[in-house]
Amino acid sequence: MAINLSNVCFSYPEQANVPILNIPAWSLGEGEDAFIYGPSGGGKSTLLGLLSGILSATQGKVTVLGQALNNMSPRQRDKFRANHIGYVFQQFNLIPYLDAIDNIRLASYFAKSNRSLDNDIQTLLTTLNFPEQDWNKPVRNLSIGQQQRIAIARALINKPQILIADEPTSSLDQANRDNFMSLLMSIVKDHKITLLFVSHDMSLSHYFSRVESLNEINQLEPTPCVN
Amino acid sequence: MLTKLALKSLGDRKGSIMLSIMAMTVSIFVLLGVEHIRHQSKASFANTVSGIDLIGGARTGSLNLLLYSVFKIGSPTNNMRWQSFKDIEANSKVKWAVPLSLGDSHKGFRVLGTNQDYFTYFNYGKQHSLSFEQGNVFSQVFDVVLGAHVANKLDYQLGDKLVLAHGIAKTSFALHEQTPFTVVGILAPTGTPVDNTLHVSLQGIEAMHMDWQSHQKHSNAHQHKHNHQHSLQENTEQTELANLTPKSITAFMLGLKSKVLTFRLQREINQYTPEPLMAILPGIALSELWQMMSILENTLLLVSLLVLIAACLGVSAMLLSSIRERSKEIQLLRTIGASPTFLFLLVQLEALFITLTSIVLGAGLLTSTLFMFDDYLANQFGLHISTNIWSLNSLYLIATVMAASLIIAMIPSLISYFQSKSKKQ
Repeated sequence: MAINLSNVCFSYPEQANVPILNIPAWSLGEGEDAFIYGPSGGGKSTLLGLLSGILSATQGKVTVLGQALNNMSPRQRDKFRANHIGYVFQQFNLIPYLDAIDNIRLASYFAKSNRSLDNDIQTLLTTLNFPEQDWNKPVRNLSIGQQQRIAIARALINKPQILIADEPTSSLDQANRDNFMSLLMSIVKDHKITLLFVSHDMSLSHYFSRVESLNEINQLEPTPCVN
Repeated sequence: MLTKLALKSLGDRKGSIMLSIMAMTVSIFVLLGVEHIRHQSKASFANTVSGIDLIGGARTGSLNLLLYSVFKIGSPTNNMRWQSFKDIEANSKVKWAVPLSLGDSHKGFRVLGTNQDYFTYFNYGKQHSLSFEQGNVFSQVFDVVLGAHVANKLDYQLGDKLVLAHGIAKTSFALHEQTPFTVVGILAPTGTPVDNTLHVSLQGIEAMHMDWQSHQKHSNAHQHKHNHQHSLQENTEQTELANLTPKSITAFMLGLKSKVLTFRLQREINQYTPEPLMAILPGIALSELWQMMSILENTLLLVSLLVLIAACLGVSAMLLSSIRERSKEIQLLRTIGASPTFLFLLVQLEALFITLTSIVLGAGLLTSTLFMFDDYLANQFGLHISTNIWSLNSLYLIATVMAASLIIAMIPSLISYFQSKSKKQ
C-alpha cells in the first residue's frame, strides 16, 4: 500500500474538542490515482497535511510507503516528505523572486540527494515544453501556464513515489485546466507515481480511476473522535 | 541554497531593506565614530607629552595650563616674568628647562617662541625626539622652523619668507610685516600639535614685538656717519638682536635630575613668592581631563548604544512584518521539506546580511568622514585622528553589534519557527 490510514483522528490543538477528521480506515495502492472531492473547508487540505507529515494525527496510525509517520520525529518527517512526496499546490506557490531553475532546485535541496541536478532539471523543463529562454527569469514574470509547468517539475524533481495535488486547477481557465490535467496524468502514468488529487471541482473526476467523497471517508458523525 | 534564498529574498524587498540598512548604518557610524574618536583623542593627547616632568606657568587652572602650553588649545590667561623662569632654571633639581612663549600666529597656525633646547628635550609618543625632514634648528633671530603639517599645508620650502601676526585668530590685522621670518627647518611629522606649530626663537618674538623697524631706523641714522664700517654695522645689528632678553614668557617645561624630586619642586614653584606661579605633572593633569571627559564620553556612548538598539528593533520589526507577508512562502518551504530550523536560520541569516552590509557601509562612511575632516580636526583641535578605524576595541564593538542584531532578530526568527511548526494546512 502507498497510503494506509487506520482510526485516524485529527483536531487542531487550539480547538482540541472540535475534530476535523475521523477516518476509521482508508488506503491507496501503489500506482493508483485517486480523486477526492469535497466542499471547501471540509478538511481536504488537513488530510493532505497528515499524509505529507506536516501535521500529526491526534489519534490513529498514518502509514505512507510502509512507514508509520506517527513514529517519526518532526525532522524525520520533513526529510521523508522531501524524499518521497511531490506536492502541487493551489496557485502553484512558487517563490516569486527565484527563477524556474532555483524554484525546482530548492525542492531537491531538502531531499537526501547530493547529486548534481542540473541535467535532471533541464530534462524535466524540456519535457514539459518550457522555453529555455525563460529558465532564468523570476517566476513572477512568467505566464500562468509556465508557472504550472514549473510547479509540476518541482513536484517531480526528487522522483517521488507519491504525488499530492491540492486543488491545483482552481485558478485556471478551462483551456489551461485541460492542458494541466493532461500533462499531469501522462507524467503520473509514465513514472508510475501514486496520485492523490483533491478538489471541489467534480468536472475533473473523469481523469481518475478512483473517485471518492471526503464526506464518505471522513466519518465525523455519528462517532466523533474522543480525546 | 540557504544563503542564496536569503540574499534573493532580501533583494526582493529592496525598499524596506534599504531603509533598515540606512538606519543601521547611521547607528554603526555613530557607535564606531564615538569609540574611535574617544580612543584616538586619548592616544593623541597622551602621545603629545613624553619625558616632561613638570609644566609651569602663571597661576591658572592645571588643565588650562596643560591645554594651552602643550596642546595649543585655548589662550594663556597671563604671562610670567623671564626672571622667574631663570630662577627656576637655576634650581639644583632641574636638569633642563625650556621656555615657551605663545600668542602669535601665522595663517591660523600657532607660533611658539622657545630656545634650541626645545628640539633637544621635547619628546612625544614613546620617547621619540623631534627630527628634521629638511634644514636645521633656528640660529638667527628671524629664523623659523615649521611643523610638518604647516609646511605641507602652506607649501613652504626652506628659504621662504613669512610674516607672523599678533594674536591667534585666523585673520589678524596686526601683522609684523617689518620683520619677516625665513624658513630654516621643517620638522618630520609627529602626529602631535608640533606639526601645526611654527617655532621661532624667543629673541625673534621680542624683536617683532618691540617694533624693531623703528629701532633699526634709529640705529641706522646713528650709524650713517660711519658707513665705511658697513660690515661692522651688520654684525653689530645681529649681536644686538641676539642679545635681546625677553621680559616675559607664557610657560615652561622642566626635566628633573631625579623623578623623586618632582613633587618637592612642584611645591616650591607653587610657593614661589616673587609672583604667583604653578607647576603641574602632565600625567595627572591629563587624567583630570579624562575624568572630566568621561561623563561626556559615557553619555555619547549611551546615546549611540540606544540608537543601535533602535536600529536593531527596526530591523526586527521589518523582518517580522515580512514574515507575515511571506506566510505562503513559509508554508511552501515547509511542504517541500524545509524544517522549522531552516526557517529560523533563514530569518537569522537575513538579519546577519543586513547587519554586515550596514557595518561595511558604516565603517566606510566613518573612514571617508575622518579622511575629509582630518585637516579640520588637526587645525582646530590639534587632534590627529587616524583614518584607520580598525582596532581591538572596534572589533569588539562590531562583534557586539552583530550579536545584538542576531539576538533581537530572534524575535521574528522564533515566530517563524513556531508558526511553521503549528501552521494550519
